[in-house]
Amino acid sequence: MITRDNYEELFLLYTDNELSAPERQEVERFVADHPDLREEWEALLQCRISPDTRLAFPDHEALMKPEPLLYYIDGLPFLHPDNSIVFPDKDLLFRTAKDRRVIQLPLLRAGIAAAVIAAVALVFLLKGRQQSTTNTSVARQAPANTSIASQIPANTKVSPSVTSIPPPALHIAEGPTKTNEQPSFRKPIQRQPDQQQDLAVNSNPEDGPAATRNTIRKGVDQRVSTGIGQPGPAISVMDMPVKESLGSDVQFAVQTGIPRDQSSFATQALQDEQAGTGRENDFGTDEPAAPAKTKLRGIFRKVTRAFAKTADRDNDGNRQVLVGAFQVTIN
Amino acid sequence: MTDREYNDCVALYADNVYRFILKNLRREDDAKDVVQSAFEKLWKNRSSVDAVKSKSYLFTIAYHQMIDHLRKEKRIELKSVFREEALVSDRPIHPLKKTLEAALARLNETQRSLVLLKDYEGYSYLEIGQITGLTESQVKVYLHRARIQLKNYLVSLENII
Repeated sequence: MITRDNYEELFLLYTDNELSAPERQEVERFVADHPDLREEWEALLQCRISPDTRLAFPDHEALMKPEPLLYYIDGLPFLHPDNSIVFPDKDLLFRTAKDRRVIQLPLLRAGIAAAVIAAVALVFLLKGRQQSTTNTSVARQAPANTSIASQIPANTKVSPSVTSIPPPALHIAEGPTKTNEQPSFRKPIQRQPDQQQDLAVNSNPEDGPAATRNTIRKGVDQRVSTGIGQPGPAISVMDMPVKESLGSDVQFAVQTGIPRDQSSFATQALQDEQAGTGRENDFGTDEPAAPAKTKLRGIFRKVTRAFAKTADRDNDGNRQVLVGAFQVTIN
Repeated sequence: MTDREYNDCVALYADNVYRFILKNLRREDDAKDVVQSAFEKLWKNRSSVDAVKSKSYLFTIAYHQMIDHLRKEKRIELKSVFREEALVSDRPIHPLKKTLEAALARLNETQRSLVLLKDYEGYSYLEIGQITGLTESQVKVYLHRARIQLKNYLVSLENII
């Protein structure tokens, strides 16, 4: 219902064309019924701005985009490929493996890598051989150490029992006295403490390691002349089973007829070693010697031995050494 | 929207958008730039635009780009001499139309845009609200105020004459 209170809004809605057809007719009837409002109504209608058709965007083509499907939509004929046309010389385009010059870079790299690995392996192999050679030389020095015993005064019998020596049988014969031995025969070690002249040390294969081990019999008949000029005690090293294991164990049996007070330090040491607690001597016992046969251990042994000798000499066998302010008891 | 529909959109609505923007910016070069940018954006988003709503989408893009352009122009603070030279009101037009152009120029940007969208394109309040981002009631209120200002301007000029 249009009244004088709400006609202005309806006039605006009429101007904006927001009214339906019946509402528009109602407004027109209201204006006809109220001529004093016609001027205002016409003024609002004049405020409608008509578009200026002279204004046009100057370049429509600049806004256009190409349409690839335009021909298809417009029904224009499509261009189909002519499969009858073929390239005549396809063989010229093919590539074969013979034509390619392939640089064998992976093989070259593999060769270099193999050479490096071989060089490293060779170095390790040589090192391993040097170590084994060193162990062997240490083992071979064992019989030579018997020269220490050769300095023992007369009436001293030293019977080294060498075991576990890798090299084959070694026969050393010095002097006129020799012991006849059967290389293939093993004798048990027989200690004769009362005997003053000769001492035969026989190693019993039954006391030795298992029969599967290779044994090397080594007979050493060594006569050691004393400083007095008398025919000295014979040091017999015979029938010594040699173990296959690394390292060497040499057992000495030292017995002298000389009183302890008159014997040399070396003799006393050897006697102590024998009479001692069953410890291994300088050349070790049957324990696995591979990790222990090192230079460092040898140095420690030498130092220990020097202390022991000094203790015996200075303290009359009390085996005590005074180092600085400390007194060390040597076992 | 297909490529063909886009080109149809160019053919149908490029002039409308150009008029709408030119009446607001009152400089042809700026109006061309805005219209080109609007169509470029329509082209990029053509796959997601319905062809039926392409016109309102195009006007929406153009309107917002025009607003951005006006904001940028306000920051630049162009000289009035330049603005006078760039005006496109030197064309011979009807006296009433010229008066209306003058009255339209006195409106603010939002009112002017609403009047142009209403009178030029015939959009409803709802559609104008969708283009400009206003609500339907806001469009109605702003547009009625603009009409009253235009009417008052015309009535006052008649009284002077």
